[in-house]
Amino acid sequence: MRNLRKEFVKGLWNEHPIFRLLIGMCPTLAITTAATNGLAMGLSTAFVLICSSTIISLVKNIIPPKVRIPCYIIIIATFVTIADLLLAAYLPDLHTVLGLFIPLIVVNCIILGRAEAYASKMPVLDSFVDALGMGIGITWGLTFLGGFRELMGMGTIFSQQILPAGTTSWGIFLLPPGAFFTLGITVGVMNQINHILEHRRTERTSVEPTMAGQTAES
Amino acid sequence: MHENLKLIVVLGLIATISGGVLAYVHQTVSPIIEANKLGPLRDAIYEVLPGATAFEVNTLDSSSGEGPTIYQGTDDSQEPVGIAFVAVGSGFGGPVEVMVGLDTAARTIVGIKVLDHQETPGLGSRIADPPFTGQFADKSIDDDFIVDKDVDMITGATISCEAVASAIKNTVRQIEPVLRAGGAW
Repeated sequence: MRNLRKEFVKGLWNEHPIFRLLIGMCPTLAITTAATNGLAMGLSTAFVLICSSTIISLVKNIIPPKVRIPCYIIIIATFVTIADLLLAAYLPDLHTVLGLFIPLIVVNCIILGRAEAYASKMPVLDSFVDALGMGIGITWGLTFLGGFRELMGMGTIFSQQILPAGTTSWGIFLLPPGAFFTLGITVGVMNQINHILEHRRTERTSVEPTMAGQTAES
Repeated sequence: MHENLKLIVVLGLIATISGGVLAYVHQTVSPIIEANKLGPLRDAIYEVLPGATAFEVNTLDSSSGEGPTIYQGTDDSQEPVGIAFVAVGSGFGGPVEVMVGLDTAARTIVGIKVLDHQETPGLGSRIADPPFTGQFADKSIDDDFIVDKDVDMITGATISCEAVASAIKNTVRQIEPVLRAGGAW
């Protein structure tokens, strides 16, 4: 039980897929122009991640190692297509906004990374919990980036006016450079917080080496 | 040989199951997706032609059925209120489809609505929002539709804005014969 809790929590901060492992950068940089887009993309990715990790963990023993990547891709692509169809049917407005970034979840290396590094080796429950934590991590990450860029670029969050009307908005935050600025600053702040936390911990005790994250690159 | 056979069987099996699941999901939701597409078209016609309560579907050349489809809106007493048509321009991420409503007597645009686009979310996608689409209301169709001159532009979305402006301009020129006849056939 203790172990499962650790598997869940790691995706939220210590091994946050976007801010700590820095994977899945393409959708992260491209779609986080508004909080709504970030949230929708995060939830879609989380759905695909949770479903595909669970299924891959279930069938890992019957998949021959030589064809494991094609097998994973088929399973992932199936859930992406399901997510795409469901969005088109039940949330057509959001589907229009996210457009081609939904099919692109197939090649998001967070998902293939978790399948290869985790779900293909661990029991089903662990894989599910791991994917759930990572999924929530992606969702808060994308929503935060989208919210911040929307706030700086248009003065709104979730299309609600936050800054007083008439405040100069920095349009650059909605453009590609803004994505890099926001991501870089966030990663820097998170590293600094971790640094301080670690410093305090080593002062109290001098055990527990930090976990090393598995990395993959898109 | 035996091992290769196993690879083929497992991969084939997974692909087959995946195909089956997708076929089932697609069959379940495709009527909803189709209805979603048809609904917006009808809603869009009524939105760009306020006052219209019914519409007739025509093509530019009614004898051969060629040319753009033109929706002729009529009010409660069967009087024509204007025409609507879909203009397609080429945007940054793919085709941009715009429903345009025209007052044929005044030769002005009544309103426009972006039906479909694949523009960058948050940038080009704002061509579908009222701050951009609203500026076309009451605009004369004899204008030049030059972006940043008589069409206000969205920062960072020049190509998307141009797609809308040129789509409207080109399609208006195409249906000029209908306009000259006062929107009648």
